[in-house]
Amino acid sequence: MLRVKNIEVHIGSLYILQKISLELYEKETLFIIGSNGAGKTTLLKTIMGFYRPFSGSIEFRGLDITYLPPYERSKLGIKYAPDNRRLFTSLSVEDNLMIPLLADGLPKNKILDRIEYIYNLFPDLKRLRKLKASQLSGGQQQMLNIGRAIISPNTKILLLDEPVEGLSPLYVSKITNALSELAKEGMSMIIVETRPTLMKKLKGRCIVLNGGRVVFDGTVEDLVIKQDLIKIYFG
Amino acid sequence: MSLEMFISALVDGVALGFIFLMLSLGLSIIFGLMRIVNFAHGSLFTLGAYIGYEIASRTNNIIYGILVSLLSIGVIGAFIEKYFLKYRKDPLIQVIVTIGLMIIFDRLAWIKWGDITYIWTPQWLEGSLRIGSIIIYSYRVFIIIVGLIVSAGTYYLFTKTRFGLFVRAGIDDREMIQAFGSNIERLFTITFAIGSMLAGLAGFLLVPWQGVYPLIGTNYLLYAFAIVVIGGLGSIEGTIIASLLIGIIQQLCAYYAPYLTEISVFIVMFIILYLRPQGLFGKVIA
Repeated sequence: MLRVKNIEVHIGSLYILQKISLELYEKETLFIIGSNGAGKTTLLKTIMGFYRPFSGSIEFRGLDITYLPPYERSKLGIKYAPDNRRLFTSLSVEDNLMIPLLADGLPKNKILDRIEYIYNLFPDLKRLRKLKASQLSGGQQQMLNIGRAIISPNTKILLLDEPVEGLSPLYVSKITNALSELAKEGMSMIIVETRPTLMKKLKGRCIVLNGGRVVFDGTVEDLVIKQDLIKIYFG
Repeated sequence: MSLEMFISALVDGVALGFIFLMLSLGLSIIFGLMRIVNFAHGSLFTLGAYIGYEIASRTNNIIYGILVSLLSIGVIGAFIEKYFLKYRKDPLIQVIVTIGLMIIFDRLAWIKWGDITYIWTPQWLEGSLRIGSIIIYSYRVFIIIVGLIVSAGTYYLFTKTRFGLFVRAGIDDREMIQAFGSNIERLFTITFAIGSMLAGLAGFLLVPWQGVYPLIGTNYLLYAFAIVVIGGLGSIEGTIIASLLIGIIQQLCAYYAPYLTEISVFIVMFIILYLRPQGLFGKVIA
């Protein structure tokens, strides 16, 4: 579904992604793990279009999207939930959820349906819907971040950067359940993590990044076997 | 120290406040969304004044003047954004480009219209209204009414429309709005055009009161920068409140302490920034 081939990304004078390749198949979850500074966030941002690769290509269902701007990729169904949330802070919770739907050009009744869908997935957001995004707690903001990324009916790939990092166990479980639901419904996801919290709970393949390079590509079970990698990356 | 003089000063202050508001709102929104500091914004004020003056004085119709200045400056603004600023994202380059445009526009205005101040007032707005012993100049009231309409319209545009929602989201996070399907470049051009239109209108509205001369816009731009900073960078409410506040303070000075008029804005800016560096409602400390 998504094919990243040999991409190289420089940021300033730093050589961040050093010929990375990966593949995401339809309806699967791919985990990207590695220590801080390995290039995970850069990789997701490049897939979303915020960075231009120096060389290499990115293909989505056969379409070359390497040089497409972010808003075109979003229209194709690639959605992004960044690690520092980056909500529209002066807008209400409900307005934050509306933005992707309005950009899609959905009619009003469809918009209400989709918002109800998110409220069923994350009941807390329904209760908080009139509050400004900046007034939410960390866990609630993260739910809004994810909700915003999945609300469009056009969502085909979810790029999630550290979806449960730094959250209390209550919110970790709420979000894990929601993502598990999505995986069952067939959503394709790329999940970036530093600590293997979700990796242990959701099924999928996994890629380990270190120093801008892929050092492992396989199933989670295979990774568990490779104890030496685990020691290096997770202490 | 009479009541009549005070009321007169207050009315003038509110009218001037609305002129400031229209000029500063454009600057504030453009900076908030696009992070562009447009030094040519004042020149657009001047140009709007001249173009409106030419049309209004020939047709003897202030409404035509208003419409033409709005449209022409809107188009010029869109042109500037699209061809001079769009692909030059380095803030320093943008500043240099807009300063260059300012110099060129102001010089061209001087070449075409010369040094003298042009004033034109529509006949039906000359004169004054009388309430008891209080005299209020009709044209000031006209400015206030137009100002209220423009403010209401702008408020509606930015808070109740889809476009406004996208602009406010874009001000909060320029990258993420793109990640949800919004073509931010088009938003930028339209926003720049609207901001410019407001400046052009403000310039023309001032013609019957203070006239137009080549550097008037760039002079007022200085006040506009101070007002935007006082209100808080990125805050629309802040700009509105600061504009009216400064308009009133400036006119009160003009009536009661003329030697303070020019610098009153900057004294207020100094005090506000000292007590509250982000301005009254600021989101950004720049």
